[in-house]
Amino acid sequence: MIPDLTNPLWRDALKSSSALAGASLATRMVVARLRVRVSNDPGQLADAARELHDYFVGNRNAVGEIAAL
Amino acid sequence: MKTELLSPAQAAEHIRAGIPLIAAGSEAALRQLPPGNWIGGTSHYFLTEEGGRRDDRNVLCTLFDMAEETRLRFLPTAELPDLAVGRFPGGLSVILIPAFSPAHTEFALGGPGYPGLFDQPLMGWISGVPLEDIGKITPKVFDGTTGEAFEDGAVLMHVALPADRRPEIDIVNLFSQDSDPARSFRFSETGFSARTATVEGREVALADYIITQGLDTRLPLVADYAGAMINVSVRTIDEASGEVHFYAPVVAGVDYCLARPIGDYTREFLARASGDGTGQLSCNCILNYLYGALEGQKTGSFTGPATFGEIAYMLLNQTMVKLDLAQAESAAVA
Repeated sequence: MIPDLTNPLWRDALKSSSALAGASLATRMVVARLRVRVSNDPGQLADAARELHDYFVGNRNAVGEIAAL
Repeated sequence: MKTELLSPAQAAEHIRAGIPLIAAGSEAALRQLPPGNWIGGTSHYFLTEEGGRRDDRNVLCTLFDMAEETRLRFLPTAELPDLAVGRFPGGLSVILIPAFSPAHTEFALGGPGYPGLFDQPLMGWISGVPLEDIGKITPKVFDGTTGEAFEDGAVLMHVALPADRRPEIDIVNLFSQDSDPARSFRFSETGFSARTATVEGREVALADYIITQGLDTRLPLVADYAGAMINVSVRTIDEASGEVHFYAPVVAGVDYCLARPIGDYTREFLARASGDGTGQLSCNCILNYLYGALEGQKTGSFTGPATFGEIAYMLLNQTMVKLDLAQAESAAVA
């Protein structure tokens, strides 16, 4: 099950700099890219969180990796 | 899926038998292949089970003999953002792009933002030329359906897989970050070159800094992508202009650290590239081939071309990329 976009985990994941243990290469790249975007422009946080959420919606094989966020 | 070094005649037999394949070889060798269900890219250096070798006559072919269906596309550079269009559900895609082309630049800079890029495995490589011919002849990619060669754009093979197979893409990076803050760089702009960088909070003239610090530019700059180590390799330092050129773009706001030196490359590679590479599609970087002196060295069962750039969703450097088609059950457990 994919947490709702209002769940703080999406924003928290993008404000963190921690490694995503056990996550796939694709998920790590997506998260890292969005973290950089937010770091360069904090005003992008909401859009980036939505993009992260949508990545899991469109990539059901990665849903199990949400726990790594 | 299996990878074999074949004569053009042997590869042609597989093509005529209808087996989808990815071919790496010299332009002359690839031009000998008949029209069919294949894509190819120029490459002259290979990692084979017998060791690293240059080969201008044969073609290294990866056979997708388990593919249920394939779809081949040539994409002009302007259409690269549409590369996810036409994929098969649960499948994978292989992409080949010629080095030093506008497509190479466009994919490197814009690729991570393409719609759906990370939703399905995308593996591939950047085609090259013999090292002595850089700047004299152009790398090519081939659309096997017509046999036509291109020096810009990309060729793609979308692959549909049986339900019990799940594609898994991963990288093997021999390098780790040096923790010395004097070897940590941040860039203000994204691009294939930079004149300045921020080191320990102050802006430095990058070329001068690299030279005066005596940094080994055979070592890549390594960025930590949420635990995945992603390299950017130095291509040249132009002392006159003060510009440092890279083989892949540095990204603004990302912290890069020079890699720690590694000792015996072959030993390190064998230690990290554990597992059975037989049955996987892989490619390794020409810089690893050169700096690691891999010609004649055996590097285990992971075979493939030594390329001018590796693609695992996005452009990488000095990295081995591997694609496995795991049984769906075991993949789910892993």
